[in-house]
Amino acid sequence: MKNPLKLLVILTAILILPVGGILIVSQNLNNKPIAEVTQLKSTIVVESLDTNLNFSIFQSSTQNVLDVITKLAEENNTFSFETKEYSFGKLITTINGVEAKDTEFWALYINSEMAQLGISEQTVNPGDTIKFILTQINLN
Amino acid sequence: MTNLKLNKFETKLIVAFLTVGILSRTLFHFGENVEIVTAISIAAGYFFTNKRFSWIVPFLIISITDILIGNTMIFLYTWSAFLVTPMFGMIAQKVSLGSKTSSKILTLQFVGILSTLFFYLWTNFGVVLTTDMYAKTFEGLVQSYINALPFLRPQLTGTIIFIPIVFLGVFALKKFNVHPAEKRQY
Repeated sequence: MKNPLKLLVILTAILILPVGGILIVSQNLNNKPIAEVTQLKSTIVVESLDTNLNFSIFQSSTQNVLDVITKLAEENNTFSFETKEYSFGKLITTINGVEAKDTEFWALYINSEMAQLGISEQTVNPGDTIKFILTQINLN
Repeated sequence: MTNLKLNKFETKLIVAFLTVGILSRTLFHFGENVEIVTAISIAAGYFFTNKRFSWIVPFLIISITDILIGNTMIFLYTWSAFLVTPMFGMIAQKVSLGSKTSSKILTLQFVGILSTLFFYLWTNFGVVLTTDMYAKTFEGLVQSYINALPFLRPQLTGTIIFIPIVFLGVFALKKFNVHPAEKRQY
């Protein structure tokens, strides 16, 4: 390593500049108003080939999906789920005994739009519809 | 013939790194996306005189634990990222903001931040290529990076906290294990 300081400076520029840019872009996209809510009923739908279930739970504030379905599982013994932790976060593996195989995953939709965050980060407002659909992974 | 010679201190260091690294990913967790393997990988690059072990140790930690806990095709990117991380420790060994231990720790925390940023950029690039979660376009790539930002914060926090812990631990281990005649200036 002939000039480690120069290498360090180059690495700093290469790594910090794009991350800085991503932070700026994400700040511009996050200008959503915070909803003022009272307790409303949120709906959780579970769909697979053999399953089409609906559950509901009262939600009084904006929460992440994991907290909402954890509360549902505690209050309603007909709903259960399992997760697995990966290096990029938690993924749902099983809902009500239906396990996603290697070529499948439980896709998350919030109000009919596919979620772009994991269950620990994706927030839902009271009154929203959370939908889990067992989906084939397309690796083309 | 492959040179795999080590002194006694480095042998003990390998056992300590493998034990802590494997246990931290299997039996106990520090929190979501908070991990110590980055600090261990940087320490491996920094301390081992036989640099082959700088790559062997992190690779063993990540491959053994991934086989135990499972992973997806993204493993190609996570494993390769942890093969690059020791290089940051090697750079820190050559560059230092000063000769005091505190200056060395600061330098190591800085390279730790850089290695975490590299991991974030490389593995989320891999998510776009190996899954159908994002369009395989520049916009899809940017979206994957934006969505991964909440995972980056705890990872950076863990790196900043664990680097001083790991390095002070190694310095203490060295103090009690290395004969004065064998002491090296790190």
